[in-house]
Amino acid sequence: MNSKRDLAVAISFFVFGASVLYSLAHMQISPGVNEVYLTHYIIPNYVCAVIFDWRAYDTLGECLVLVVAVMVSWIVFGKSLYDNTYLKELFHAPESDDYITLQGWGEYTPIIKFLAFPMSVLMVALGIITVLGGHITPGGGFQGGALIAAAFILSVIAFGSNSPLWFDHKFLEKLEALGALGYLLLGVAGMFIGGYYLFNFTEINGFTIFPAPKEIITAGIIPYLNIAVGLKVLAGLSTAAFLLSCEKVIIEKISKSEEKLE
Amino acid sequence: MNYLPMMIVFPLIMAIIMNLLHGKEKAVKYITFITAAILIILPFISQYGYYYFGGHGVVNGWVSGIAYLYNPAKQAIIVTLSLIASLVLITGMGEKLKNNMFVTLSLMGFASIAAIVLADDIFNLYVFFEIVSIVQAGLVFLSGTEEAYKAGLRYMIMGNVAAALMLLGIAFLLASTGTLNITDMKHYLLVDNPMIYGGLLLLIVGLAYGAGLPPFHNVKADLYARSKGFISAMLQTYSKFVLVGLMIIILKLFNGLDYFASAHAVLIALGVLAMVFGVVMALLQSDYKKLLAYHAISQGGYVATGLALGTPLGIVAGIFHAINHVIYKSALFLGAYIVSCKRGSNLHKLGGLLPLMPSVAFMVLCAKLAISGIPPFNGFQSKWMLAQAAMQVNMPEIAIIMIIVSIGTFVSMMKAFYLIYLKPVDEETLKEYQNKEVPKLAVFSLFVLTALCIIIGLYPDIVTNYLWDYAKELGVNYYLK
Repeated sequence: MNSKRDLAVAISFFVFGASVLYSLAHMQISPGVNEVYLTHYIIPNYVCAVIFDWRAYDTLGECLVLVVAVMVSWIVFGKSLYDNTYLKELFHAPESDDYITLQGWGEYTPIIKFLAFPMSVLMVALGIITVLGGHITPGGGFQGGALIAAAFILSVIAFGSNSPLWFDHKFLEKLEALGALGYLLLGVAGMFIGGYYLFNFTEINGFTIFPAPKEIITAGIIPYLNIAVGLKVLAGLSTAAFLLSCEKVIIEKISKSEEKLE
Repeated sequence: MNYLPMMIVFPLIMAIIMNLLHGKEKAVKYITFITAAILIILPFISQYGYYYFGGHGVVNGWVSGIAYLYNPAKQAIIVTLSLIASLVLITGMGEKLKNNMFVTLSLMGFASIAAIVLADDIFNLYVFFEIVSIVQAGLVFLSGTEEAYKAGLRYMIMGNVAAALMLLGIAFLLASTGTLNITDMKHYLLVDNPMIYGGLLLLIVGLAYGAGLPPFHNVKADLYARSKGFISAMLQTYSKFVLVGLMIIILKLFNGLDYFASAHAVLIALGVLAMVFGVVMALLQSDYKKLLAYHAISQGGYVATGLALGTPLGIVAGIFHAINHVIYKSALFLGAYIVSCKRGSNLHKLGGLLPLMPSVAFMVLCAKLAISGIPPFNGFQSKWMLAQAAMQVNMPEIAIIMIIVSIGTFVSMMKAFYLIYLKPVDEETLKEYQNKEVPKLAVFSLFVLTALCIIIGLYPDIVTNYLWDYAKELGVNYYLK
């Protein structure tokens, strides 16, 4: 039976792969709408112009994908776990030799301890630069936010809950909501000022939205969208990482609840 | 000012706010009722026509930004969607657990489905397709049972594969046509290029996954069955309108082209298979929600078949059936929710509920007759139109299958009705029933939906008048020989 199944899988993959390659062999590239993007100047970073101006609504959708993913992670790992006995059994399995016990937490080499915190600080700084410079250099909100989240994760892995770089999960929740709401409401502001959702307005009553040299005065709301996305990504990824490491917290709570029962 | 984007943006804003309100039950309830009311108003204050986000319209002959298209047909769909969403949100306020997360995910899902229906941009459609996939898994997780986690996890794993293939299809279409806008893309599909055809087939994979057509029907049915009853009502509404949204786009792009013929046959086959598989599996079930779940798959097959025919009558019938189906299937799932508040959903352990809640039994009976396609209910009107559409293109075998599937639907529905409401039970069970409360908000929602079944059944023009113009635009008349 295994050989027949393997044969079926192999044939399926071959047919699918051959079909894809056959399609690719007949590729006839058409530049299409990209000519519009490349010939109409908005900001020096053309990718950022497409992501946060021409197609800013797609970026809103991508932000919300991350928001929903974090919410679902909360449902699975964060809140529901305390109500399910079968998961208690799973998490309360006997500890094996390769299991990192609570007592063993923090047993990293001195090199990691020495370097982790300064590396975290540098990564946070780099992340901030990436977010703020998104409209004039490669990168932007997603990349910058991910960098800051990576700094947080590095520090937590090295130092645990004693990490000098620490975000409380309620704070992260508010940060994520702030980022998402900021993006949504900037779009609504565009409706009232320019008539269209996510309209990129450059000034209100004569005041420039984003102070900049005259070559990039057309940035408008793009830097603020980058900041909103950066906050949201940093909060989302940090929360997800926190949830994935909360197994020890769960075990502690289960142990405490069992002590109460006894 | 055009308030069209507020149909998507307003529920998203409320969803984010709700996520911050956990632990504040009264605030959640109050704001949810207000939000539910506003959702119904939004489709009526938006203007028809194209809407260009960011003000980026046609530049050098290309639609340069992301466009939405709003017309009477889409308005009918979104009004139905917002009505179901409002009723489910209202019903959910009767629950105790995790109100804010339920509201958040429901609003996210509503916004995503509305975006999919409105989208005239194939990548924006994909983005919201992603969101609604995760939302559906999240909503089933809220049940908190082991089976729910398994069902949601299976759905997400399958979703990884299906969505990746769909994205590959979008990449093929983008490379071949140079644009993601559907109105522009249509002008570049005349050449018979294997890459474009490959993109079409990969889109159909995403369609099958999002709608619960074979081979994804078991995974989707499990998703419906493992959720709470009122959440199942929302989930099946999402799936039905993903099906309509994606099918409209496929028809808009490809209907009438020569090389669409075989893909056309694939779509019809998927619809017919879903009809048959769904009803056969439903006849075997002893769990009430599982039975209803497979009927949702079966009725989804009707919608897919009607739209896949590709004629104006077929498209009107398909969309009309989708609207009718979400109404009476939501009523049935709410009925199942009320029953499960009494004593779970195992058909062989239930019985004798008629004396305790005769009005609920009557309303559920109406919904069951509606899904069976019996006049004077709305299900009869749309199934009749579907059969006519099949006959019109000289496919009487499809019309016959539709009728046989309706008979199977009727049989399993009446069996379930007997086992739940009519079967005699002993005194102890009756006393146990007395102690359980009936959720009043669910009964209210059930009443509204049942009234709609009868009203649309008697006056189908209320809905179909909105659908014909767009169907004539999309549809192509033909007659098989």
